[in-house]
Amino acid sequence: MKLTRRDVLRFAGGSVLGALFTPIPWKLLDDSSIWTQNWSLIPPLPRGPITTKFTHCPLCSAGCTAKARCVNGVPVGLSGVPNLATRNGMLCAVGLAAHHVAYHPLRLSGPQAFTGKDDGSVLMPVTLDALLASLGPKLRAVMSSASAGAVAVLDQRPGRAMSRRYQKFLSGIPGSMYVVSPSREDGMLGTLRALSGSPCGPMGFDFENTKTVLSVGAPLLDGWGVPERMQVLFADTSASGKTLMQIESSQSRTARGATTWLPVVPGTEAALALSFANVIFREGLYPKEIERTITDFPRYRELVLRYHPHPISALTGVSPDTIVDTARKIAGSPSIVIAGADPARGPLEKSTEILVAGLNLLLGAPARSGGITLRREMPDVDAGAMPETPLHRVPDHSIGLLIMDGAEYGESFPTSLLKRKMVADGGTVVLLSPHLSARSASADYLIPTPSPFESWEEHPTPPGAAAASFSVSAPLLAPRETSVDAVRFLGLLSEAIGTGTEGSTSPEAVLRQRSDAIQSAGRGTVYAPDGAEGKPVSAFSNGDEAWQAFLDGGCWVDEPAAPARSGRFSILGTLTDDELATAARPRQREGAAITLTPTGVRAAMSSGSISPILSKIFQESDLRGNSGTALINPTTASQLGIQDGSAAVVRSRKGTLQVRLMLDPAVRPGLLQAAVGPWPNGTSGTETMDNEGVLAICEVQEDGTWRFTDVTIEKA
Amino acid sequence: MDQGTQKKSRYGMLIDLDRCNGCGACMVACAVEHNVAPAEHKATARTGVTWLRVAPMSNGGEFPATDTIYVPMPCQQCEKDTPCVAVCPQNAVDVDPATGIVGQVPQRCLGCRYCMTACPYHARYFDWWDPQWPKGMEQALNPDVAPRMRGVVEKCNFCHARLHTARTKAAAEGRESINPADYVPACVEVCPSKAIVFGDLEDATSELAQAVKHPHVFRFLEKLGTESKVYYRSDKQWVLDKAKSLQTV
Ligand code: SF4
Ligand code: SF4
Ligand code: SF4
Repeated sequence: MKLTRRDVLRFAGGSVLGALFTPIPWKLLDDSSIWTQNWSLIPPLPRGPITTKFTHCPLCSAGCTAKARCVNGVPVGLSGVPNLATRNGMLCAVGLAAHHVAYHPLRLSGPQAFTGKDDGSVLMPVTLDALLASLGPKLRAVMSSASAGAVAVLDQRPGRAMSRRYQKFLSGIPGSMYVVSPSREDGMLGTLRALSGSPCGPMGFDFENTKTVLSVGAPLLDGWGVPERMQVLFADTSASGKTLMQIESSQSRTARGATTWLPVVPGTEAALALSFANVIFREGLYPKEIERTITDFPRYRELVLRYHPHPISALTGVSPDTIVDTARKIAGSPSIVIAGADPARGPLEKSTEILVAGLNLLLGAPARSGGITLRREMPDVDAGAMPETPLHRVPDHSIGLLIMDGAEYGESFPTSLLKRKMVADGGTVVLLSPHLSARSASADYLIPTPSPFESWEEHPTPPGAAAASFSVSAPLLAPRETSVDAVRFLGLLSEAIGTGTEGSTSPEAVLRQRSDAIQSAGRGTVYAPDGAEGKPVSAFSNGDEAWQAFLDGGCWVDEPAAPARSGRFSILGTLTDDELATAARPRQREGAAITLTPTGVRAAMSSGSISPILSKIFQESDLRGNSGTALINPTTASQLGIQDGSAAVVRSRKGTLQVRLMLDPAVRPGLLQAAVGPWPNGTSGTETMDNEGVLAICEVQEDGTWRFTDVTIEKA
Repeated sequence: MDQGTQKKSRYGMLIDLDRCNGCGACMVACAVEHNVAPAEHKATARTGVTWLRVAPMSNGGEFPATDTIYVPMPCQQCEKDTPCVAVCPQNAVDVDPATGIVGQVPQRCLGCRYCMTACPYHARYFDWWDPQWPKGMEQALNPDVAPRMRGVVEKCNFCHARLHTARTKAAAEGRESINPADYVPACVEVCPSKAIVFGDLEDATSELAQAVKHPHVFRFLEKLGTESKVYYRSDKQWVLDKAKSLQTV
């Protein structure tokens, strides 16, 4: 047989074709794909003994009880502890990954200081000794000169034993201020205390026994207070028999879940509150004794009688019938009216907050079951608490040296507000935080504190709670060598200025002191985290037993305060007639400007404070907007010629911001809701510090609030 | 062999859309449970990996007659002519006859993404990038679930590792079948609204089997006949109408 070239070619071609019908090419393809897929390292999984420990989520003021699943003692997962009598706990999305935060690339590696105050100054690593050597004289200079401004501590987590230490430190410095975040969820209770004619202790909301809650913008179903407490009470009102009415410009998650949503024109909440009062007055729905207990009752009545529902309806966009119905509902059952601070949008304007808080006084809510409860003071070792001043109420240009405990903690505020409170040359700002954030750029010194789960943590009474509570968490992770906890820092600073040697105590010792104080007071109950019966504090025979109960994850809940007759209050406080007149007027909008309002999720205000895995909801889906995104109503967008997902430039008097716009019919036409929160994969320190996002272009008003800013939008 | 733990089951879930408030806790819990890596720098909603994705859905009404629900969308565990199984050239996708769970074997996956194209629910995700965790965070990974490599497809498997743990426990305790309380998927466990009911559809007495009989219970894209085992419920008429009219999810 003659073998031709053609035969050879046919054989080769046939073989290739035939091979295609064998597993060989597929196997080759498969193996090569697996080889290429595996070329880089897949991390080895942790191996070792598996244990569980009770702890508490350290990311926000709720301090939800959690169970940590650990491998070799290192937490690999967190879960909530449902049905707990105290912080009835399911963790929120942020808290579920709290054990990752310690590994965040934005963590500070050591103390750092800016080289100067000008634009060209850069952040440089310094030793702690060098930092204290530079800071000490500055602190002494501010302490010794009245014109240099006051020394202040901005405590983002008030109520802790550590807070008392700050207050003790400040009490030795004349003219000093103890400042708290402007966006505290229960800030309205501070306003109510200020309206009281005589000093009164802390207050809380008796949600469990109330029937009706009227909320002015408080995100009650979106992470407020202890989220699970609110969820159980108000998410399914048909089961709980309660009514939740939400007053808000756009349909937020809370507005959507509420029994009724009152979509109000932005900035007209004060007029609406006065109109509710108008109905309550005209129909005589208020308890008559308040005529005696409210010191400025005649002035208030005269004011509210001018706010008849009909004209106010045109102003607020809420129908007269709804105004009347709502007023009757809150007057007809035990009810609470909440003026809500939002974690991103901040507090309500001063006059609005007072007028909304005043509705509680009109309804006789203080010291009444189902209303505003009086809480007992926390037993403490360090006596002499200082008054708390929210940052936005601090006089402008009055702080010469500020120690900030935490970059942000649950909620945020614009850096421009902070700058306004500092003396004209900017003064000195010391920031204690585990991570870099936009806030770091406004500090002169950065102190790297331990990350969540690396240090002893305490969880004092959550905002709005009806009774005081306390729990502690022992560290689950070893702290970094360069970390400096707040107790140590304050001790070293005191030594540097020669005012004491408080550096000798540790965070654990500070918490133990509070545990001892609770045990000595002998009141309240410690509930074990496994849901077992609580043990009365009086049953602990010594401090060691009580401390052990806390180490085992127990939570102390105070006894309710003895019922007290509601004292005398001023319902209008220090509001002048001019302030009242402007409070009830809608915002003046400039031409065709759009109204910008920030929005965000509690505890997720910046990239470094949350787990990188939160990218699932902030970057890899459209569930929550990250910094750089904004929601707009489709009608407004089409008027501006803007499509869903398109890039746009938002311009205010304060600056410009590039955003990706997303259409959402739940947003009120004319509003732009821009997200405060993590940047998509925000891992670069410089980018993070240089970019405050929407808060950088928000205008801070006279009263220190930043809810609404007029902006224009152009296609990018 | 322990016949008991091999008893035939059909696991499924019912998600109450009126209870879900879009908090995202289930998405985070799922990612932590299954060692899904944080997003790569360039990842977007299109290219990210979320075994369970909660998507907002609007009634389309004009403000203020607007309403939004949040739809948690895991793999729907299609039972009949399972689209992703049928197209996989590698046998990397299968339906476990003992549980009805649609499994995914990443080691076999070629990365051709036929299954992603075939899945009518967009419940499958491709690993476009190497999985990367910040330095040190590997020690916080779940020891029960192997991370997947770049170039493969992954998806919800009803927390299969938890089923194994429950079976091991049952076997160790000499029980014939698992205790349903021992097999609770991560998303179900963490949902603060108790919006998700999980269970065995085969067990007529289970809460799930009872709950799916409600007239307001539906499945997405029912007309495709995939007989998915993830059910939804809403008492809102617009949701029921919209679910019926959807051509794609
Ligand atoms: S971040 Fe706050 S609300 Fe969320 S789990 Fe932690 S403590 Fe609870
Ligand atoms: S939902 Fe998609 S991935 Fe899940 S079984 Fe059905 S076709 Fe497959
Ligand atoms: S955890 Fe529950 S309420 Fe939250 S998004 Fe998931 S299903 Fe909805």
